[in-house]
Amino acid sequence: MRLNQFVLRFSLILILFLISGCSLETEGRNIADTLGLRSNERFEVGESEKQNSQRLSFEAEYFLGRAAGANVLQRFKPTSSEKQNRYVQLVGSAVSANSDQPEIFGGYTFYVLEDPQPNAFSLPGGFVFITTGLLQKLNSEEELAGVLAHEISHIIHRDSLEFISQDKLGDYHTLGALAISAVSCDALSALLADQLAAAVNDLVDNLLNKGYSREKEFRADKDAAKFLNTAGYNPQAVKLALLRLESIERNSSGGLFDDHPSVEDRIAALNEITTESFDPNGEKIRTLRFHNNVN
Amino acid sequence: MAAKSVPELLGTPTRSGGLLYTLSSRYLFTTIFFTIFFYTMVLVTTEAAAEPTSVAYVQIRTAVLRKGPQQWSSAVAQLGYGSAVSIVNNAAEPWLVAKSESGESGYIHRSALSNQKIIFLKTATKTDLNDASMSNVVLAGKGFNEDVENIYSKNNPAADLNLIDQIEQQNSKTRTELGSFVQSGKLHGTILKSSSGRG
Repeated sequence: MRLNQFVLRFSLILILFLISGCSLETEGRNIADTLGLRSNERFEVGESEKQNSQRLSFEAEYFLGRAAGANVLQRFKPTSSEKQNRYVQLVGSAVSANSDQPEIFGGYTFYVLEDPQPNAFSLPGGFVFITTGLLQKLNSEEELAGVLAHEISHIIHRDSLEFISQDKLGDYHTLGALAISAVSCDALSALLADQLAAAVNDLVDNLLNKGYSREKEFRADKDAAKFLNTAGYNPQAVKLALLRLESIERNSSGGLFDDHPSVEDRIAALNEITTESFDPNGEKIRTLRFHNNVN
Repeated sequence: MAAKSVPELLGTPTRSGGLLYTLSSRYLFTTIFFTIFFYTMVLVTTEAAAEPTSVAYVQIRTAVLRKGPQQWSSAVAQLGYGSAVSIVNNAAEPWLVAKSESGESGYIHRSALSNQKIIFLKTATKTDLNDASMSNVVLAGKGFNEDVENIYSKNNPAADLNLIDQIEQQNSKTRTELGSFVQSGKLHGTILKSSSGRG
C-alpha cells in the first residue's frame, strides 16, 4: 500500500477509535512497531508477491476459513449422505496425514456438497469441499485421494489467500497491529469483523469464478502425486483423475476445473511421476470400497 | 638469609623495571591467554545453551503426544495452543519425541510446533510484550479470532457457523477410525490403535 493511502486509512481508523472511546495504549513500544511498519512477523519467507498474504497467523487463517466455509454453505446444499461424507473424510485424512503439513490449526476438514456440477476447492485453515457431481465422475479411491491431495497442497501453500485484494489485507494488518495495543476493544473487533466479511466475499467469489495460476496448479498436481506416494496410493492416479476431468465440460466454474492451464498441459507436466511402492492388491480393495461408499 | 625480592620469589629474572615489568613480560601473557580462553569457553557454552531445538511451542489449537510416530497412534497427552515442550530427540523425522511441562513424553509431528513462543494477547502483561523480541513471539488472538467471528456471525446471520462446528466435530470423530481404514485399505503405516485426539 502506498504511504499516503496507508496514512489515510490509519487516520480513519484512529478517528473511529477516538469516537468509540478506545484506549490506544502503546505498551511501551513506538507507534511504528505498533502499526507493524517494521513488521518482522513469522512468515517472512520467499516469494514477494505472497508476503502480505503469508503474514496471516495460522489462527487467523483458521477463522477466515471457518467464515468462508459458512459462506460456501450458503451457496451449496450439504450432502444428505453421511456414508459419503465419512468416506471422503477418511480418504482426505489418510492423505493429509502424509502431506508436508499434517498438522494445521484446527485440523483438516473434508465435506461433500450436494451439487451436480463437478468441482472441488479448498479454503484457508484446512477446509476442503468436493461436490457429489465430481464424486460421480471419479472411478476409484486413488482418484479421489488425488483430487483431495491437490486441494491440500493449495491449503499448505496458502494459495487461496491471493484471491483477497491486497488493499483489504493491508487494512487487516493495520487493524491486527492495533490489536496489540488496544487489547480488549470491542470497536476493534467490530472493524475486524467487517474486514472478515470483505475478505470472505473476495475469497469465495474469486475462488469459485477464477482459477489459480499455471504455476500453482502444476505445483498442486506435483504435490498430490507426492502425497499419494507417501500414503501408499498409486500416484499415477493424479493423471487418471485429470484425464477424467478432460471429458467434463469446462465452463469456467473455477476451482479444480479452471481451464488455465489446460488439463493436457497438467498431464504433460506430470510425466515424470515415479511410483515407489504401493500394493496393487490394495488398490483393488480400495476401488471396491470407493464404489461401496460413493455409489 | 637475605630477604628475596618479590620477583625473585616468583622466579622471574630481575630487571630494573621491578614487579610490573616482570608481570608484563611473563605472567601477563599467561593471564591474557587464560582470560581469552575463559571468555571463549563462556561464549561457546552460551551458544550451545541457545540452541533453538531444545524448547518448542504448540502452534495448533490442540496437539497430541502419541505413542508412535503415526497420526493414528494412541494419544499419551493432549496439549493446548501455546504449550511448551522440550524436544527429546528427532530420530524419527518429521516426528519428534517431545516432553510436556507435566512430564509426559510422546511423538509429535514437527508441523504442530513452532520455535517461537506464543503469547496470548488477552492475557499478555506489559512485561510480556516489552521483554519479548517481536521476531521471536507469536501473538495469539491478534487479528481474526473468536471474538471477531462472533460479531461476524451476528452481522451475517445467514452464515451458519454452527454447521461449520458440526462438520469439524464430525471430521474429528471420523479421524479416530483412520488407523483401521489405513490397515483395511493396505495403505502405508502399521500402528493401528485409534487416536482419541484431533488429527
